Amino acid sequence: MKPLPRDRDAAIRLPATDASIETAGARVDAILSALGVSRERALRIELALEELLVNIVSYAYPADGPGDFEILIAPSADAITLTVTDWGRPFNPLEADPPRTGDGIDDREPGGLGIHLVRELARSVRYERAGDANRIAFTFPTGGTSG
Amino acid sequence: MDVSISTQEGRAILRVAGRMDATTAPQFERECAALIESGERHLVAELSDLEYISSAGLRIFLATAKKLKPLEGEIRICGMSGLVREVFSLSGFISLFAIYPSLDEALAARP
Repeated sequence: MKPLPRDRDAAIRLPATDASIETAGARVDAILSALGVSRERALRIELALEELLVNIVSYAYPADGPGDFEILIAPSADAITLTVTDWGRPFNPLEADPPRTGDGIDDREPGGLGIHLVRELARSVRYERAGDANRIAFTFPTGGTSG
Repeated sequence: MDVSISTQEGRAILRVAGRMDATTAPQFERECAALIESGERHLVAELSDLEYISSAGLRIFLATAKKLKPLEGEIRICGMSGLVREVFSLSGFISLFAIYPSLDEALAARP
């Protein structure tokens, strides 16, 4: 794993808007690429990030209310951890009911799939309420091919 | 994300390339809705050049299938690989859709 380039911020803070999801994804994509993370792994990390950011943009702040999210990227020897913070209402998405993945097409509802995917794809994911912030950290291995 | 549409053997084929995410999924939804409005009932999504799909994209597949079912139509899916296949599998969507390895097989299969 390469060290983080000095000229590139490993912290990204943006207003919690739909447009910021794409901006954040592109910036994280560039950072993962600079770190030498494989394309296959980077796509999984970006998927987990997108699902968490969609939740924040949709639910964290009152409609039309201002608010930010922040992403910290922390690579280690064999893994990479992304920590996503918002300062909205307390909300632990990991407490949501899992989707009923065995249901037929008439009964399936789209809700809950995003967090389900984060749980399934990441090696670990944890939530904490830290002061007035929601903080979710998820970790992916950077070696091998799975996880 | 790029979507190109063609017709073959009475089915509308949507070739989707790139990334279907929260930003681009609405475009795929519009393409599917326009085809259904124009009378197409049998859609095939060819995904061999799709490298990424998030839950925003899954929602569109689910909504399109729900729209087509009472019209006695369906959306078949072919060419999935890598992360896209994994996301369909983890979501339980593999069992909700008629899925084929290739476009030829999707077109040849009987209803």
